[in-house]
Amino acid sequence: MCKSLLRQWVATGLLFAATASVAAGPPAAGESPWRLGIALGYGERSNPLALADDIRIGIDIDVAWFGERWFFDNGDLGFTLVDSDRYTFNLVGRVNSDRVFFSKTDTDFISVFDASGGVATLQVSVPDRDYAAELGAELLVDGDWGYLQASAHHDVSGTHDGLELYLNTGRTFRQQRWAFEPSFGLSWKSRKLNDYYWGVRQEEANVLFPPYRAGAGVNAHARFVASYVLDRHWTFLVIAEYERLNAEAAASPIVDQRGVIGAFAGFRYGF
Amino acid sequence: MGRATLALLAAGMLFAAARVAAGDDTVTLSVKPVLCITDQHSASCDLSFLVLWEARRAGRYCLYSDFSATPLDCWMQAVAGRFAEDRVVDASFRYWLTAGAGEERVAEATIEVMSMATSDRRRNRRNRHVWSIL
Repeated sequence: MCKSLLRQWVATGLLFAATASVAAGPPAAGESPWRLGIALGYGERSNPLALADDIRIGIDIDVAWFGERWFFDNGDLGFTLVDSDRYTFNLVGRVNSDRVFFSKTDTDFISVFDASGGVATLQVSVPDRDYAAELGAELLVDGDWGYLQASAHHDVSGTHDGLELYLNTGRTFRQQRWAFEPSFGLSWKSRKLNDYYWGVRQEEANVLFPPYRAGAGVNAHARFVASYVLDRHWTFLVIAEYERLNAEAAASPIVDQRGVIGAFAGFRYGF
Repeated sequence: MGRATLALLAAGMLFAAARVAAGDDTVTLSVKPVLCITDQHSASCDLSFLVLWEARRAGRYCLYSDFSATPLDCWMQAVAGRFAEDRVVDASFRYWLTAGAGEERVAEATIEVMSMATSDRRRNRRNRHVWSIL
């Protein structure tokens, strides 16, 4: 069902590409196809997993290149099918972001009484998960009201075989050097995707993490960015974001916290 | 990177952006503000500029800008001066100071216009790549 939905998205995109009256244009005059930047500061993203550390952020690198149709945006590889005055429609290959939490897991040792009355020490850790390569389609719309991004991505690496539908909208309010950008959205994750990352297989189960099957669910997220332009290259910025995991993920025994909080403050240098 | 280092870095950048010294260190010209930021909603800035200058030696000094071939103001036997004006800006321009009867510039300050507008909406897409919060 998920794969057929993806095929419908891609087919719709190809149809748009074939019939669009306005094709993707070259970059605006004087605008470099590159966007290169580095941010230095301090930030953290909380880790919802049990037996896991929060993710510290000290340096953040921004590498993007936007050609007439192809583009690379910090790990996302895209191809623009339609770029009109009203919307842009892209095909995008990417790496799933859920895996990032599993890079910071720890191993714990717990003592249990065995059948003979003795004490045994067990090694307990959160099961490992792999990155998934995903392919999908993305619609970008903007106007005086703000912007909207909608996308659908399906696993093509055979990692979870699931689907994610993503919707995000926001608006930038600028007052000379200051800019404020609130945004929020939803992300639907299919049963296969959710179960791969947040489920616990029978063979992975232990005394702390019993077997668990996760169904589909909807994450909600909100984000706020405040920035102050110091000069042509330097910008001071503060970012705060919150993501509420879907109920199926939150009920997993490997999950300790339902909310994921992220914050960063620092300076960005744009080349 | 410590907080003190970051604060010093920020203070240094603000100072450099707001104050432009002449190659000859006897005259200093400072302008506020020195940056205009435009975007798709506003293609220009309506700004009130304050131009201040100081010289070690008294003399005749004239202030010019790219908008006018004639001086905005001149001062006789002065060691300091100020000039204020309101202006709508949509492109970078300069204020400069000349000394004596000549036209040689003894101090100059550039007001930069920085556009945040882009015709490529892909540049504003939000991707949630695995290593970043930005």
